[in-house]
Amino acid sequence: MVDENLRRYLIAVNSQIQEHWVLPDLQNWKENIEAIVIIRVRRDGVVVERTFKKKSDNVFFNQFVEKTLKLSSPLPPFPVGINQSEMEIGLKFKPGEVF
Amino acid sequence: MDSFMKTRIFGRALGISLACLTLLLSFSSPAEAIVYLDITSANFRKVKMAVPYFVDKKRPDVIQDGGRKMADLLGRALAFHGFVDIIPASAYGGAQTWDWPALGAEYTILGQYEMTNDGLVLEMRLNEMQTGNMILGRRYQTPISRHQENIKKFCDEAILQLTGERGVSQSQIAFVSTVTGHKEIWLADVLGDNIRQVTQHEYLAVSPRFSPDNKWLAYTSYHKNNPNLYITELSVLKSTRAISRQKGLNMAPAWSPDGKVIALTLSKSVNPDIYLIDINGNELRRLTSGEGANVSPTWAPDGKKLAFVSDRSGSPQIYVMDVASKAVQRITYVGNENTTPSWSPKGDWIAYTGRVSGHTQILMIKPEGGAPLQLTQTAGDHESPSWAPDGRQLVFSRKRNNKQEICAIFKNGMGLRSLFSLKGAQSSPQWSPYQGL
Repeated sequence: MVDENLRRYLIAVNSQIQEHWVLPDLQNWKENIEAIVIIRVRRDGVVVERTFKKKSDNVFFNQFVEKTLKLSSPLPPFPVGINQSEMEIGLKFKPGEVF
Repeated sequence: MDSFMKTRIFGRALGISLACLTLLLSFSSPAEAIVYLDITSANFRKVKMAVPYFVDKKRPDVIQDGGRKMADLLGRALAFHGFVDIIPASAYGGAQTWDWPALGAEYTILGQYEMTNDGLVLEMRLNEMQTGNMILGRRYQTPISRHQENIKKFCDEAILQLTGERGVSQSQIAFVSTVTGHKEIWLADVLGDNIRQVTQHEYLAVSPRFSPDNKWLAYTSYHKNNPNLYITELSVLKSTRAISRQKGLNMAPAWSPDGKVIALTLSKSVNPDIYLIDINGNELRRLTSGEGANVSPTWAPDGKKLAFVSDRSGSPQIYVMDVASKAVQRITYVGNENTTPSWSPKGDWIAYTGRVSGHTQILMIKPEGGAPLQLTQTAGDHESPSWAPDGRQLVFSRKRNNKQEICAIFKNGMGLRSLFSLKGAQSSPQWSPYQGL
């Protein structure tokens, strides 16, 4: 059974990070390029730790992932109904549709 | 809104809905597992860069006109590539020291120069603000007359560092111009400088084509009362050599990627057909045989296929031929006039001229066929596309309001602009291969 509070919180996190996910129109970013970051979020929304689980082979792409996370922080605080003090979330960054 | 914008926005909406779907699916995993969110559909924007006035090492406190011009040239060269937004010098007075993050600058290029007995010593550094690292530094000893080449060279290296693909600011455009009253072949630097005349036959010269090593320019001239094929050496632009003087057409040459073979249309057997010749004009193979007029060949970058125009089906359409087997496949089915194909340097697209609602536009199609994409949307007639060596943009001619000029556009349909202004009508542009490698 999906936890509704958690679902809503993750949608809010996704939306906030997505808002800052900006890549320079530098190159034809390969659509299969991907970086995975694990973030540890405190209940007030502060990201206390972020670790690349997988770096892409494109240094610039990785830098823009880091920049996005800096700009997105702090994330929304945990809503009522989520009782844990911290949460780990995995983020898979991709450029998306690139023409 | 053009079709490319629609494509992008559609793609973005699709990305978001897929992300949500993944998000929902993620909850079916066990509670202790980490939930993964897909962050896709990035917004794309230009990179903000500051290129302050270059500084005279001997007088760093005084801004010289030469320093302004060097910075201006470098800024124009970078901006030409379409993804660099140069912060105007007026925002910081052109000074080399500033609070760059406050201006939003992600990169700076700081240049200095020093006059010596041998000319000019030019130093440029590309710095990244986020890490504080210098990611490219170069020092050039150059005659004063050639310092602009070195600035463009640095630009193209900087683009290489940023994108993994060399910049094109050193490349050239060959084109046909009526500026003298006759159709002659001309050359211009891609930034619109150094415009010069190549042929002086005072007759009719057309179809300029660069050799892959950038040493030769082939073209067809009618000055001997027959459209013969000539080549001229680009470094001197004086010695011209006739390559093919068959009776009838010797038209629209296309150098093979290895530069050893030229595909062209000959009409010695009455019907215009495509042949392969070597660079001494010896006939190697006949590729088409009498099925309509066959013209405008363009090679795939691997040299195994050719695209060309044929009216064998009743209207001019684009066909692709496997050169070894001569097997032919028609790839355009939309519109009744599709001409002047140009195969992209990466091999993934063929650009061409197509008639849409009474006007010619630039379109692209995959080499295997499918739905074409319309690149140009503006009023007027757009013709003869030719790819930049990095495959990111194309050059073509646009005729409107009694004016025909050379324009460029990015592959995503954005950034259409005129490259330079010249009297007369300009047509049939060809983008040179990479320069100065």
